[in-house]
Amino acid sequence: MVKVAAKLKIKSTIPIYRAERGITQQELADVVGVTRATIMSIEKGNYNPSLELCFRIALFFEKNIEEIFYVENLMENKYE
Amino acid sequence: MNNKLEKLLKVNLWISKYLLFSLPFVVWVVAWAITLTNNGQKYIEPKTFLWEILSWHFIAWFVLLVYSILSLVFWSPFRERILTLLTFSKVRDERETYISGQASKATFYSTLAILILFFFLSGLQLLIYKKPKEEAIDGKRGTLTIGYSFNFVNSDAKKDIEVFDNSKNEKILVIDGIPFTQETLLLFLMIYHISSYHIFSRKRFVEN
Repeated sequence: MVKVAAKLKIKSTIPIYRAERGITQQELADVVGVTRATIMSIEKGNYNPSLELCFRIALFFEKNIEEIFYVENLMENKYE
Repeated sequence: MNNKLEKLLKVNLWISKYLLFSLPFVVWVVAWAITLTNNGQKYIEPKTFLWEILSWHFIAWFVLLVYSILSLVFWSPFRERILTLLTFSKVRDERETYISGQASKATFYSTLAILILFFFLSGLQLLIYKKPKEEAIDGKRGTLTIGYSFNFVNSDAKKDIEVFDNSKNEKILVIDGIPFTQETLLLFLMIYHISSYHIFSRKRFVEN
Protein backbone atom coordinates (compact mmCIF):
# COMPACT_ATOMS: atom_id res chain seq x y z
CA MET A 1 0.00 0.00 0.00
CA VAL A 2 1.22 3.49 -0.83
CA LYS A 3 2.08 5.72 2.10
CA VAL A 4 2.32 9.50 2.01
CA ALA A 5 4.42 11.69 4.31
CA ALA A 6 2.46 12.98 7.30
CA LYS A 7 3.20 16.60 6.51
CA LEU A 8 3.91 18.16 3.15
CA LYS A 9 5.77 21.44 2.94
CA ILE A 10 3.91 23.48 0.36
CA LYS A 11 5.97 26.07 -1.47
CA SER A 12 4.69 28.91 -3.59
CA THR A 13 5.62 31.13 -6.50
CA ILE A 14 3.70 34.06 -5.02
CA PRO A 15 6.80 36.33 -4.76
CA ILE A 16 7.46 35.85 -8.50
CA TYR A 17 3.90 36.66 -9.57
CA ARG A 18 3.74 39.48 -7.06
CA ALA A 19 6.90 40.99 -8.51
CA GLU A 20 5.45 40.62 -12.03
CA ARG A 21 2.38 42.58 -10.98
CA GLY A 22 4.39 45.02 -8.85
CA ILE A 23 2.25 44.63 -5.75
CA THR A 24 3.25 44.42 -2.11
CA GLN A 25 2.43 41.67 0.38
CA GLN A 26 -0.02 44.03 2.07
CA GLU A 27 -1.85 44.75 -1.19
CA LEU A 28 -2.18 41.04 -1.95
CA ALA A 29 -3.30 40.39 1.62
CA ASP A 30 -6.01 43.06 1.35
CA VAL A 31 -7.31 41.61 -1.92
CA VAL A 32 -7.54 38.01 -0.69
CA GLY A 33 -8.75 38.99 2.79
CA VAL A 34 -5.91 37.95 5.09
CA THR A 35 -3.16 39.71 7.03
CA ARG A 36 0.27 40.55 5.65
CA ALA A 37 1.80 38.12 8.17
CA THR A 38 -0.18 35.29 6.56
CA ILE A 39 1.11 36.11 3.07
CA MET A 40 4.63 36.31 4.49
CA SER A 41 4.24 32.89 6.20
CA ILE A 42 2.89 31.32 2.98
CA GLU A 43 5.78 32.75 0.95
CA LYS A 44 8.29 31.39 3.46
CA GLY A 45 6.56 28.01 3.43
CA ASN A 46 5.84 28.17 7.16
CA TYR A 47 2.06 28.03 6.79
CA ASN A 48 -0.03 25.77 4.55
CA PRO A 49 -3.01 27.85 3.38
CA SER A 50 -6.54 26.49 3.14
CA LEU A 51 -7.80 25.31 -0.23
CA GLU A 52 -10.13 28.32 -0.38
CA LEU A 53 -7.27 30.76 0.14
CA CYS A 54 -5.19 28.93 -2.49
CA PHE A 55 -8.05 29.39 -4.96
CA ARG A 56 -8.43 33.06 -4.03
CA ILE A 57 -4.74 33.72 -4.64
CA ALA A 58 -4.83 31.72 -7.88
CA LEU A 59 -7.90 33.66 -9.04
CA PHE A 60 -6.19 36.95 -8.29
CA PHE A 61 -3.13 36.02 -10.35
CA GLU A 62 -5.33 34.35 -13.02
CA LYS A 63 -3.35 31.11 -12.80
CA ASN A 64 -4.04 27.49 -11.97
CA ILE A 65 -3.42 26.47 -8.38
CA GLU A 66 -0.55 24.16 -9.43
CA GLU A 67 1.27 27.12 -10.98
CA ILE A 68 1.30 28.91 -7.64
CA PHE A 69 1.47 26.14 -5.06
CA TYR A 70 3.64 23.04 -5.31
CA VAL A 71 5.45 20.50 -3.17
CA GLU A 72 9.15 20.32 -3.84
CA ASN A 73 10.25 16.78 -4.76
CA LEU A 74 6.68 15.56 -4.43
CA MET A 75 7.47 11.94 -5.23
CA GLU A 76 9.94 11.73 -2.34
CA ASN A 77 6.96 12.03 -0.01
CA LYS A 78 5.44 8.84 -1.38
CA TYR A 79 6.51 5.46 -0.03
CA GLU A 80 5.61 1.98 -1.27
CA MET B 1 -28.87 36.33 14.78
CA ASN B 2 -32.20 38.13 14.33
CA ASN B 3 -32.76 41.87 14.84
CA LYS B 4 -34.11 41.57 18.37
CA LEU B 5 -31.09 39.59 19.53
CA GLU B 6 -28.75 42.04 17.81
CA LYS B 7 -30.44 44.90 19.68
CA LEU B 8 -30.17 42.99 22.94
CA LEU B 9 -26.48 42.36 22.22
CA LYS B 10 -25.99 46.11 21.69
CA VAL B 11 -27.77 46.84 24.99
CA ASN B 12 -25.57 44.30 26.74
CA LEU B 13 -22.45 45.88 25.26
CA TRP B 14 -23.62 49.30 26.46
CA ILE B 15 -24.21 47.85 29.93
CA SER B 16 -20.67 46.45 29.90
CA LYS B 17 -19.28 49.87 28.99
CA TYR B 18 -21.38 51.45 31.74
CA LEU B 19 -20.07 48.87 34.26
CA LEU B 20 -16.50 49.68 33.30
CA PHE B 21 -16.71 53.47 33.14
CA SER B 22 -18.82 53.88 36.28
CA LEU B 23 -16.43 51.74 38.31
CA PRO B 24 -14.70 54.82 39.86
CA PHE B 25 -18.04 55.84 41.46
CA VAL B 26 -18.42 52.36 42.91
CA VAL B 27 -14.88 52.48 44.30
CA TRP B 28 -15.67 55.94 45.68
CA VAL B 29 -18.78 54.81 47.59
CA VAL B 30 -17.04 51.67 48.86
CA ALA B 31 -14.07 53.71 50.07
CA TRP B 32 -16.45 56.19 51.69
CA ALA B 33 -18.30 53.35 53.43
CA ILE B 34 -14.99 51.95 54.72
CA THR B 35 -14.09 55.32 56.28
CA LEU B 36 -17.48 55.33 58.06
CA THR B 37 -16.80 52.07 59.89
CA ASN B 38 -14.49 53.49 62.50
CA ASN B 39 -12.53 50.61 64.05
CA GLY B 40 -15.56 48.36 64.14
CA GLN B 41 -17.69 50.93 65.96
CA LYS B 42 -21.26 51.63 64.97
CA TYR B 43 -21.67 52.67 61.39
CA ILE B 44 -23.44 56.02 60.94
CA GLU B 45 -24.82 56.59 57.48
CA PRO B 46 -24.38 60.17 56.26
CA LYS B 47 -27.64 61.94 55.39
CA THR B 48 -26.32 63.68 52.32
CA PHE B 49 -27.73 63.78 48.82
CA LEU B 50 -24.40 62.64 47.34
CA TRP B 51 -24.36 59.56 49.58
CA GLU B 52 -27.93 58.69 48.54
CA ILE B 53 -27.09 59.02 44.84
CA LEU B 54 -23.90 56.99 45.13
CA SER B 55 -25.61 54.28 47.16
CA TRP B 56 -28.48 53.88 44.68
CA HIS B 57 -25.98 53.89 41.86
CA PHE B 58 -24.03 51.15 43.61
CA ILE B 59 -27.18 49.00 43.90
CA ALA B 60 -28.00 49.50 40.20
CA TRP B 61 -24.39 48.79 39.23
CA PHE B 62 -24.36 45.58 41.25
CA VAL B 63 -27.63 44.33 39.73
CA LEU B 64 -26.29 45.03 36.22
CA LEU B 65 -23.05 43.26 37.12
CA VAL B 66 -24.96 40.11 38.11
CA TYR B 67 -27.00 40.35 34.88
CA SER B 68 -23.81 40.73 32.80
CA ILE B 69 -22.07 37.80 34.46
CA LEU B 70 -25.12 35.58 33.87
CA SER B 71 -25.23 36.74 30.24
CA LEU B 72 -21.56 35.84 29.90
CA VAL B 73 -22.28 32.33 31.09
CA PHE B 74 -25.45 31.66 29.13
CA TRP B 75 -25.23 33.74 25.93
CA SER B 76 -22.40 32.84 23.57
CA PRO B 77 -22.44 35.88 21.16
CA PHE B 78 -22.11 38.25 24.12
CA ARG B 79 -19.49 36.02 25.73
CA GLU B 80 -17.40 35.99 22.55
CA ARG B 81 -17.57 39.76 22.09
CA ILE B 82 -16.71 40.62 25.69
CA LEU B 83 -14.10 37.97 26.37
CA THR B 84 -12.33 38.69 23.08
CA LEU B 85 -11.88 42.25 24.34
CA LEU B 86 -11.00 41.28 27.90
CA THR B 87 -8.41 38.68 26.91
CA PHE B 88 -6.92 40.76 24.07
CA SER B 89 -7.33 37.85 21.68
CA LYS B 90 -7.79 38.65 18.01
CA VAL B 91 -8.49 36.37 15.09
CA ARG B 92 -8.32 38.21 11.77
CA ASP B 93 -7.83 35.45 9.23
CA GLU B 94 -7.52 31.70 8.76
CA ARG B 95 -3.90 31.53 9.92
CA GLU B 96 -4.76 33.29 13.17
CA THR B 97 -7.78 30.99 13.56
CA TYR B 98 -5.40 28.05 13.17
CA ILE B 99 -2.93 29.50 15.68
CA SER B 100 -5.77 30.33 18.08
CA GLY B 101 -7.03 26.74 17.81
CA GLN B 102 -3.58 25.35 18.54
CA ALA B 103 -3.15 27.74 21.49
CA SER B 104 -6.62 26.89 22.83
CA LYS B 105 -5.81 23.19 22.70
CA ALA B 106 -2.49 23.71 24.50
CA THR B 107 -4.21 25.96 27.08
CA PHE B 108 -6.96 23.39 27.62
CA TYR B 109 -4.45 20.64 28.35
CA SER B 110 -2.22 22.79 30.54
CA THR B 111 -5.16 24.15 32.56
CA LEU B 112 -6.54 20.63 32.94
CA ALA B 113 -3.13 19.51 34.26
CA ILE B 114 -3.18 22.37 36.80
CA LEU B 115 -6.74 21.42 37.83
CA ILE B 116 -5.68 17.80 38.33
CA LEU B 117 -2.79 19.02 40.51
CA PHE B 118 -5.14 21.25 42.54
CA PHE B 119 -7.65 18.42 42.90
CA PHE B 120 -4.89 16.16 44.19
CA LEU B 121 -3.49 18.80 46.57
CA SER B 122 -6.91 19.91 47.83
CA GLY B 123 -7.64 16.57 49.46
CA LEU B 124 -4.11 15.56 50.38
CA GLN B 125 -3.31 15.08 54.04
CA LEU B 126 0.35 14.46 54.73
CA LEU B 127 1.69 14.35 58.26
CA ILE B 128 5.31 13.80 59.24
CA TYR B 129 5.83 13.95 62.97
CA LYS B 130 7.53 12.46 66.01
CA LYS B 131 5.41 10.74 68.60
CA PRO B 132 5.97 11.50 72.29
CA LYS B 133 8.72 9.37 73.89
CA GLU B 134 6.20 7.36 75.91
CA GLU B 135 4.43 6.25 72.68
CA ALA B 136 7.62 5.18 70.85
CA ILE B 137 7.57 1.72 69.27
CA ASP B 138 10.91 -0.11 69.51
CA GLY B 139 12.47 3.25 70.29
CA LYS B 140 11.27 4.73 67.01
CA ARG B 141 9.19 7.91 67.15
CA GLY B 142 9.17 9.13 63.53
CA THR B 143 5.77 8.69 61.85
CA LEU B 144 4.46 9.32 58.37
CA THR B 145 0.73 9.50 57.67
CA ILE B 146 -0.72 9.89 54.19
CA GLY B 147 -4.43 10.42 53.63
CA TYR B 148 -6.90 11.82 51.17
CA SER B 149 -10.13 13.55 52.09
CA PHE B 150 -12.89 14.13 49.57
CA ASN B 151 -16.14 15.87 50.51
CA PHE B 152 -18.97 17.14 48.34
CA VAL B 153 -19.76 20.02 50.71
CA ASN B 154 -17.78 21.96 53.28
CA SER B 155 -18.12 20.25 56.64
CA ASP B 156 -16.11 19.45 59.74
CA ALA B 157 -14.14 16.88 57.78
CA LYS B 158 -10.85 18.35 58.95
CA LYS B 159 -11.32 16.80 62.39
CA ASP B 160 -8.33 14.50 62.01
CA ILE B 161 -5.95 17.40 61.59
CA GLU B 162 -7.51 19.28 64.52
CA VAL B 163 -7.07 16.21 66.74
CA PHE B 164 -3.48 15.99 65.57
CA ASP B 165 -2.90 19.69 66.26
CA ASN B 166 -4.03 19.24 69.83
CA SER B 167 -1.84 16.20 70.42
CA LYS B 168 1.62 16.13 71.98
CA ASN B 169 3.21 15.02 68.70
CA GLU B 170 6.26 16.91 67.54
CA LYS B 171 5.30 18.24 64.10
CA ILE B 172 7.84 18.14 61.29
CA LEU B 173 5.65 18.59 58.20
CA VAL B 174 1.89 19.03 58.04
CA ILE B 175 0.14 19.35 54.67
CA ASP B 176 -3.64 19.58 54.75
CA GLY B 177 -5.12 20.59 51.42
CA ILE B 178 -4.37 23.84 49.63
CA PRO B 179 -3.79 26.75 52.02
CA PHE B 180 -5.23 29.36 49.61
CA THR B 181 -8.82 30.56 49.68
CA GLN B 182 -11.33 29.68 46.96
CA GLU B 183 -11.18 33.27 45.65
CA THR B 184 -7.39 33.20 45.34
CA LEU B 185 -7.45 29.86 43.57
CA LEU B 186 -10.13 30.93 41.09
CA LEU B 187 -8.33 34.21 40.40
CA PHE B 188 -5.08 32.31 39.88
CA LEU B 189 -6.82 29.91 37.48
CA MET B 190 -8.31 32.77 35.46
CA ILE B 191 -4.97 34.57 35.19
CA TYR B 192 -3.20 31.29 34.38
CA HIS B 193 -5.80 30.44 31.72
CA ILE B 194 -5.49 33.80 29.94
CA SER B 195 -1.71 34.00 30.20
CA SER B 196 -1.14 30.44 29.01
CA TYR B 197 -3.37 31.13 25.98
CA HIS B 198 -1.27 34.19 25.14
CA ILE B 199 2.05 32.42 25.71
CA PHE B 200 1.04 29.48 23.50
CA SER B 201 -0.35 31.88 20.83
CA ARG B 202 2.89 33.86 20.83
CA LYS B 203 4.88 30.64 20.48
CA ARG B 204 2.77 29.50 17.50
CA PHE B 205 2.97 32.95 15.91
CA VAL B 206 6.75 32.73 15.99
CA GLU B 207 6.66 29.21 14.51
CA ASN B 208 4.24 30.20 11.72
